[in-house]
Amino acid sequence: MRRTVPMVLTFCAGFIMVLDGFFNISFINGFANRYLMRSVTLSVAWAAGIGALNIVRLHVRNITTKRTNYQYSYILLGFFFFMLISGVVLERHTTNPFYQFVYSSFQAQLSAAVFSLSSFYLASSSYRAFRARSLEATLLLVAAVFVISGSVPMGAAIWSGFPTVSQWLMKYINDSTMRAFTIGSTMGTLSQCVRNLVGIERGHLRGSEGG
Amino acid sequence: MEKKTIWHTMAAVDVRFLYIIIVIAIVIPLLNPIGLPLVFLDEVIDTVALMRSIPPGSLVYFGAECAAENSAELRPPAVAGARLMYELGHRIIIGGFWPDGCILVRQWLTPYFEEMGAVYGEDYVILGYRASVTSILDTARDNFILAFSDRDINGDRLSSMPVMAGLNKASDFAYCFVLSPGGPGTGTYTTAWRATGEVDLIIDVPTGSMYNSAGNNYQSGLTAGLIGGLNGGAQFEQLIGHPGEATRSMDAQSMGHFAIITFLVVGNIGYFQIRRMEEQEKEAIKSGGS
Repeated sequence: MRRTVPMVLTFCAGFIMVLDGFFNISFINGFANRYLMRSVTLSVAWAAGIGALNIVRLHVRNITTKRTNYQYSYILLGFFFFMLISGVVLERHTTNPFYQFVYSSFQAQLSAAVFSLSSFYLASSSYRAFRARSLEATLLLVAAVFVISGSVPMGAAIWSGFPTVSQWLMKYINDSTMRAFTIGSTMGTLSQCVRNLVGIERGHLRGSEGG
Repeated sequence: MEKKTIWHTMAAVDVRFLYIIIVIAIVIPLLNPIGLPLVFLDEVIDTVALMRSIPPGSLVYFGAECAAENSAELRPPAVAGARLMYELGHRIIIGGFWPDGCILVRQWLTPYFEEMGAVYGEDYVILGYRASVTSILDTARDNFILAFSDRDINGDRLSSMPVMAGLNKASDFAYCFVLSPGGPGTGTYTTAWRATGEVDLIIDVPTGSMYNSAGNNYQSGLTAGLIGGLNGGAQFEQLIGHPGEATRSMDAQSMGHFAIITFLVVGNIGYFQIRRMEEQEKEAIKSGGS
């Protein structure tokens, strides 16, 4: 029962969505848009709720068991509840100027700062790890040098051919490879969807009893 | 004892030394721009021409798909795009499915909208973040206002705003201008509105890291315009006659890129030198032994 009902529901919902995609049947299209598609919003809301609970649980446990660096959990929980409560309590909620100020002064700046650190890792790895150890690695390295040089004005200032070579690599080599990747992954997704739809894939229903 | 050469010293260089070089390479051109000329790509020139060809009064969807970490790359084309749209008399509907997207875009664009005299609710509106992108874009194909629950980012009624006049479904948009650091991004709109024939023209504004897949969509005709990365943003700014943040940042990006190329080249030369010396030593030991 615990497996059959979800499988039947999955099949029915999935089959209606397939019909909605391929046919103009007002009852099916209406049902799919009005109920099935909008139910995704509920799932997303539940997922966000579960995610929030998990974070709180994890960090409360960090503090109570005094795990390594548990002090940071105080900061995380403090900001978590501060943003949550101020977003709910303040007038106009997340569009309140105070909320916006806190968001843009802390969250936005810290996110940008953390992301910008990647340039330092990139510099370090380009010097110490990216080696032309094989033919493939050498080709990759040469292509990288041309694409990097061709995508900035200094490359064109050094040699006017850099942008041309860079564009050629991007248009012909990169695009065709990306297309192959895209088609391959789409076919994989499609086969996974069919497996879920007809109940061959059951791992998500009862843990390890996938088939 | 193994003989230490300059290559061995360079291979063991302190990583902080590399970090300092990168900081210098980026900060100096930011403070003193060199002003290197840009190479204009056809895709950016064609995108500007496409936007200019859309008649005044047309409705335009602005996909605020971004987060703080990609603001350095996406803010300049977002500002330039909104400027051009307003100058061309397009009515701008800003929506986004990244939690931070609409909040950030509002911060980026509000000063420029105020400077240009654009009126909220008449010239532009910000829909605000919504969860569940697929269902909303799907519903918007038939009823745009219903899909966004008839509320903007401030909770005000969309249906009472002049900017929404004539906007019933997604097909009423002349084009979509979508910032795209990943998913949701241009691919989401292409699947929801372009593949279904609602909106023919989608302008893709990806980050540099998404540019490789964006080129694929542009070349195949799935997207009608492409402004890729900070470089595309700088070209876009110059083509519309408002050089700004991207143009100023290009010298720093040039220097940063060339520092990385230098690291690549020097690192590899060192690697091969050390390997060659090690092989020579091995051969010497072998020949000595035999």
